Amino acid sequence: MTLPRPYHAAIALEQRLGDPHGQHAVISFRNALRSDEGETFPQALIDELNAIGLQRAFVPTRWGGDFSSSETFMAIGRVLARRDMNVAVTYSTLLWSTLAWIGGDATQCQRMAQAILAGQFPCLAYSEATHGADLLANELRAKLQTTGRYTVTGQKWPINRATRSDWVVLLAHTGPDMGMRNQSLFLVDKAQLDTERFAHLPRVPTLGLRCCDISGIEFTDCELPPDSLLGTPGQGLELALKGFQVTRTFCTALSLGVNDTALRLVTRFAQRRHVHGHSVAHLPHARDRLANAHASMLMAEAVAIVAARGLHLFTEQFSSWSSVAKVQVSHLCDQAIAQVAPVLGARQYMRDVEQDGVGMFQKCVRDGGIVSIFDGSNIVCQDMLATFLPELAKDGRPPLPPEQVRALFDLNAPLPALDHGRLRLSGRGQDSVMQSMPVLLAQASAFGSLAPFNATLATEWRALQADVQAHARQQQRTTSWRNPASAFALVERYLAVHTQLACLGLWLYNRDTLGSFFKEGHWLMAALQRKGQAAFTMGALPTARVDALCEQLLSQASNAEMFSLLPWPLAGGNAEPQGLSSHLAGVNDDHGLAA
Amino acid sequence: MTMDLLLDKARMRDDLVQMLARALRLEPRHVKVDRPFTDYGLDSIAALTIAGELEEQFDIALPETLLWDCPTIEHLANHLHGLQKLPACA
Repeated sequence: MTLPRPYHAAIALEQRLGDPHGQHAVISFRNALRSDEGETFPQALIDELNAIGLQRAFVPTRWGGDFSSSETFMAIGRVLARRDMNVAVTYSTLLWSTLAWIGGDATQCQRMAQAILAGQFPCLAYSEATHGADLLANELRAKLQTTGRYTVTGQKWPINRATRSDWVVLLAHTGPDMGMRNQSLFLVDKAQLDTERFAHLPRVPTLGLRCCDISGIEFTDCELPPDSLLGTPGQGLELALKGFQVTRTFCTALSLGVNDTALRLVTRFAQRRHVHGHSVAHLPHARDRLANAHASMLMAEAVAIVAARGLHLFTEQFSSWSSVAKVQVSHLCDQAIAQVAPVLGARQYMRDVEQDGVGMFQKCVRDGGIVSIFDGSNIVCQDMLATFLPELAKDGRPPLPPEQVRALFDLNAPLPALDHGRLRLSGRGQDSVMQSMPVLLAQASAFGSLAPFNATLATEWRALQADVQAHARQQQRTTSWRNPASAFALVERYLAVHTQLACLGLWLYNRDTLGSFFKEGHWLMAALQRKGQAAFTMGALPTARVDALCEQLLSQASNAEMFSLLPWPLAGGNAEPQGLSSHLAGVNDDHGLAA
Repeated sequence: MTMDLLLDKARMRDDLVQMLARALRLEPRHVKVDRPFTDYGLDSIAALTIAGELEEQFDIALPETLLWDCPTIEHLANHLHGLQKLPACA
């Protein structure tokens, strides 16, 4: 059992940063909690990450950095987010350089790359206090002067790193007043602005991310440097939406990372705390919650990894796929943690810094909640999916050829470079995960244990397709043109089918390389039995499945491994990336699949 | 010839009115050809899907941002009519 190559960089970073339970780690839980209580900006830690060259991970290789794999990037994000979301989110604004890679010319890309490699940070300034996600209604204006330069007037708020940034990716109204071409995007070097013409707004106290610089910026007839415009005038919304296709996909790393820590705290408590002579981890109701939460995390990981690979292979489909990934991963992770919180008893409510790191749990819950708000809230993403759904669920799409199905799901299959130029505002209904279904179900038919689930999955998809088309016809007869709540319910079903296919595809193409737990497939059958849904019902999984999921969870906690489908050693453990084969070798029954 | 083209264009405009009225859940008589789609509350994402529907209806390849770049039915009809006259652009 070996860890696929794209994950090696994250393992190296993990070891470099050290065990966060310890006192000497670069980012320790104790210091993260203390900083959170004090609401202090993590400048020293940001500097330390830059000193080890982490900023290179954000710059594509063609512009002089190290970014070549979305799987690698996502894995690195998990390593950071599991330690401290304040640091991860503060560092993550480097990702807004994506707008340069998408819309910038060669000079702008080189400028952005050089700035990042030199340790500078951008922020993203889209939001305005009175308009939220309604970007076309934004009022901050950029006027083109006769000199050929733009001057900007207006406010952006709330903005992560608005104050503590060197660059601003700024969305501004450039006219005409109406229409969808009224916004333009600018990449602005603050050092070149007249300091009398712009000011930062006070930091906003927030529920989580208490160390982050969530503030704002205000411009008053502020002249922008020449060559600040990204793309063409009026292309702002288009570039903004394309940028979100990349960043929403990577948001999944934050959910997976922070909720790994939350689940780890609960698991460690359940192992150590004794009730009636037994550890909490032996209590049936606690085991059921832990097993389901573990299954949720693994389902979320499957969705995230398949999305990371899909971004390279089927970039044109990410207007919808990125929202699927962000919404479903954050739903799965957030609901999993909410369901295991009661296992901690009173400790879920404590902010104690000193006592066994228990205060980290509430911090993780508060911090993790941001993912459903970031980069267009989950509601915005679901609304978009509801609009796209009649095309996505249209009958008669051709099956994906087997070689493309393998390319998507086989973690050892090579990926092409990510080409930002392939991003499209609409995937025109193409959906490579759904279109993989015929090939996946044909392969799965060889496994008797999967038969009932396969039939159900196919039936679910056909029923959803029919319901979506019937719903669309019904909507034609209504007087409301906004997506009704019933359309959001259809989106939930679509997300659930996607999740099941992501799990099934990963299992089918990697079952001989990722160890016995992976191969036995209890995690897969839990995902199928739960129909890919984030919600779960206590007592619904058979005891043997609960036991298998629980034992793997407890084992990974004891051995300091990431809660992952991959063999992913954490700092502080004894496991080695390539050295686990002796006790986790694949079993040799007919197919290795549990009954 | 000129009359045929004018009739085609008028029919195209009528087709677009019907289609947009359906998409916006309005009576066709309430849809004005010179009023921006955004005035009727059409959002940017719904506009992308309508471009796909137009593509199917008129059987020509269209950019996904068609309704972003042609903000009224009048603009749209002119553009589509021009494309029909110039098949090389399709």
